This record gives sequence, structure tokens and C-alpha cells, in this order.
Amino acid sequence: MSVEPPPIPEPDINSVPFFEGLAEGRLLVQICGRCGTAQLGHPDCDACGHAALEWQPASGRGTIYSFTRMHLSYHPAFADLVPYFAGIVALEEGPLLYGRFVVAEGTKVAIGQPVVAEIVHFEGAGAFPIFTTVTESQA
Amino acid sequence: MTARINASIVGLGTAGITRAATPPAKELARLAVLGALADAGLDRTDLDGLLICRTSAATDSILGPDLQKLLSLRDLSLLELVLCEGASAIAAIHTAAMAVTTGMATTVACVFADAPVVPGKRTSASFGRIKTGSGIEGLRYSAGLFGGAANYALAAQRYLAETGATEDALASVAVAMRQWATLNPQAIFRDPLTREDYFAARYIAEPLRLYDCAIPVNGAVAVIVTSRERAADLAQPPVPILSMAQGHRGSPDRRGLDLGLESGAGIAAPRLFEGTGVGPADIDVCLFYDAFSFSTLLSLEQYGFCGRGEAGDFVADGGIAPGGRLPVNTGGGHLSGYYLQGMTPVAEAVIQARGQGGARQVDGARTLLVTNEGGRFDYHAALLLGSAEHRE
Repeated sequence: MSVEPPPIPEPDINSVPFFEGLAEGRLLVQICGRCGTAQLGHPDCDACGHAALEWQPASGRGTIYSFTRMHLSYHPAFADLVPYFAGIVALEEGPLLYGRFVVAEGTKVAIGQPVVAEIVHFEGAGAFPIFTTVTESQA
Repeated sequence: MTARINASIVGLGTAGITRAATPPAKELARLAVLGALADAGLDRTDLDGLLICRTSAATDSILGPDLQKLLSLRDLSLLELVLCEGASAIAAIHTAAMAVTTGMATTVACVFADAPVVPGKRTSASFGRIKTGSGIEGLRYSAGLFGGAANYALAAQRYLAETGATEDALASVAVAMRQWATLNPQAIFRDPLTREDYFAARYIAEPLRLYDCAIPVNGAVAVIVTSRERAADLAQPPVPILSMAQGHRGSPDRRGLDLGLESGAGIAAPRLFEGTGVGPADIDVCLFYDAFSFSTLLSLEQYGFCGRGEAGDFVADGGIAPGGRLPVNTGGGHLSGYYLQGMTPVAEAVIQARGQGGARQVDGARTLLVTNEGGRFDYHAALLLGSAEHRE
């Protein structure tokens, strides 16, 4: 089965380690060396302005911050998925991240619903996290 | 604030505003500027400023500073692109008003044009452009969140979940917009729309259905800004700028910014009203940026017309429809009128302030609130406009 991969962004100047981490199967967040705020893709700390941010592994756990169910396919990679859930995850560490949601049996997509990230690799295109809903006890 | 602003809108011109094929955006922009000059009773030699707005997808070759040459404008003292996504039109009027007030220019045209519609091509092909983006922000496309509807759906979903409002609130906005549009000969969609029609339509991105989303058109709108003194001698009733404000919240990728419950409007509103002696209770007509129905709900709350979570009740039972307690988007807005981004609410405000709204004219439209929304509630710009009777 040869399916066109979903669009995967090019890293920008502030996200090279993030995408390198995904390629290695790891989800990373930036931690401020001064105030400890976790963030994503900032040149310096978005909270306190400190210049030294360190990329560290994230737990991969989070909750759904908001979601939608998309009913139109704008890209061949999504044609067979419509309608599909996608939205914003609040990572356990704090930052918000876009993702598509896979709904596990016995769970639903709702704001506050726990999710876990699975980093999915698309050959020749790159990797990015897709989030699966989990029960509270699995979170 | 901006109590010392000395500027009025004196001309309004449009071109296109159709789902049919048109000349390219640059030509539509040229026609709209010429129309606005004629409306004001001015000649192109009276213009010494030109401010150009375009969509974020457009380039200089589609609509750029060379519009000056197409208009045969000589020796301008102000020429800029003003780019703030959906907030560009009002941002341009802010710049024009400041230039006129400081004397940097005397008479400035602000124009927006777009021509995304190719007859026979799907709307989502015009607006849901396939992008890969760059950086972490670009993962939205990896997630399948294409098009403006996905963005606004995420905000609307949070709003509904946090406030307990239902899709009925969205339906009330969409139906009210169509009621206004039936009174506006320039509106694109003028067939009656019932709540049943609304709920029978397909979802685009839940909770947003077809009638929650603006449909693109080809067209252009231009306005002319000059000083209040010069405005008094021109062809149309002048529309004085009473106040202006912007509000841009910044980074949306951390917690702490309450998507769907607050926007740049919440920052701009107190700045806009400050020192004017005008508050929400004094506003006669609102012209909100409503590319998606949800935007109107949030605008009503952020500008203090009702409390947090109360917009659903405010719009129920025709609250913003013809004959309602607060006339909102009296031309049908983006949803049923026409979608020319930030210029749609500006054009309708000028029409209402002049008393030229025909069947949809609001009696006593003396103080008007006009807003622009850009990005995913990232950028916000607002105007408080008066009517000719407002002249001090």
C-alpha cells in the first residue's frame, strides 16, 4: 500500500532539535534554565526571557485542550480517515501541541480527556506524534 | 484613547463582490479606489497616500505597491502594505488616520482586494490550501487541521464546553446574518435560512457547520480617509473616527491563554473606549469580523455587551437580528453578505453611519463599533466610528 504521507513541516531555526528528537522516536520540550517553564520552539524563554533553554524528553502524556472532528479531506493522506478527530493537546509539562487523535475503545474525545503520544514515522517524510485517548487509570 | 485623532472616512468604493469570474485582485483594487474617490467627490490627484491590504496568501505580483502606478498616482507621501492577516483593513485605516492627523498625508486611500474564486472549483480548494508550514506550528497540517474552519472550530469547541452554550448559539448567529442579508442587495446569500436548514447542513469541522463559515468572493473595497475639516466639504456625509485600538495577544502555544474565551478584542476594548465617554451601552450598531459564526459570540463578550458565557442567550430569539436589541453585522456579515476580510465590516459601518442602508438602515446609527480579527484570534483591530451628527 503506497499512500501519500501527511504534510510534515520543515524545522525552523528554533525547532531543529525537536524534529531530530521525533526522528529518533522521542518527544522533546524546551525547559528554561532559569524559571523552568516548558515550551516549544522559542528562541528564548517565553515566560522570563532567559536565553538558555534546554531540550528535554517529555512524558508523552497530556490532556485534550480542544478538538474538532474534521469532515472534509483537504489532503490525500486524510481521505480515508474522514471524519477524523484532531486538535490541541496540553502536554503534561505545559506546552500546547497540535495532533490528530485516535480514539481507543472505551474512551471518547472530550476536553480534558487524557491522551498519550505515539511517534509515527512516515518513510522518507519524517515523524510526528499522533495521540491516542486513554482512560484515567492508563494516563 | 486617541482623542486627538483628526480623521474621517469620506469615500467608499467596491468592485466585484461576486462568486463569478472577475479580473485579478490588482484590477479590482484599482476599480475600488477609483470608486471610493468618485464617491467622495475627489480626483485621483487629491490622493497623497495609498495603503494596501491583501490576504496572507497573496504576493506583490498579485497585489503590491505597484498599484500606485496602475492608478497613475504621482508623488505620494505615504505608500505601504499593511499586513496583519484579517486585521489588516482596520490596521490600515489606523495608519491612515495617524498620517492625516500628523500631517504626513492629507488624503489616504486604504484598499483590500482578493480574487480566490475560480468558478467550478471547490471553496476548500480556494481557502484550505495545502500547506506544510515550518517549525512546530506546522504540525497543525500533520494533524489534519486544514483551513480556517479547523482553527475556529477549536476555539468554538472550547467555548461551548467551558460555558455550557450549545450549537443553538451558533445557529442563532447564522440565521440572524441571513435575515440581515435578505435586506442587503449587495449580499451574496439572500435566500431565507431557517434553523432547520442550519442544522440539516453538513459539518465542516465540528461544531461548525456549512452556514457557520464564510464563503470566499472575488472583490475589493476601498475607503478614503482625510481630516475632519476637509471631510466637511466633500460629497458624502463624513464618518468621523472617534477612537481606534489594537490588541494582539502573542504566543498561543503555552497554557494561560484561554482559547475560545478571550481574544485580542479583550485587550482592545478598554483601549478603544477609554476617554471617549462611550461604552458598550452607547453603541448603536456593531460590525464584527465574522468569518465564522463563533467569532460574533466571542466579540459580544469581549466588548462587554454581555458577560462571559452569556452570548448564547444574547443572540437567542433574534437578539442581534433585524429588530433585535443590538443590530450586528447589518449587511449580513461575512457569513451571508460577502467575505472581503477586514473591509466587510468597515464598508457596512460607513453605509450605516451615513444613513444609506436602505431597508436595513438602523435608525439612529450614531456610534458604531467595527472590529477586525486576524489569524486564530491572534490579531485584533477596532474602530469607533461616529455619524455626521457627531461632528463637534
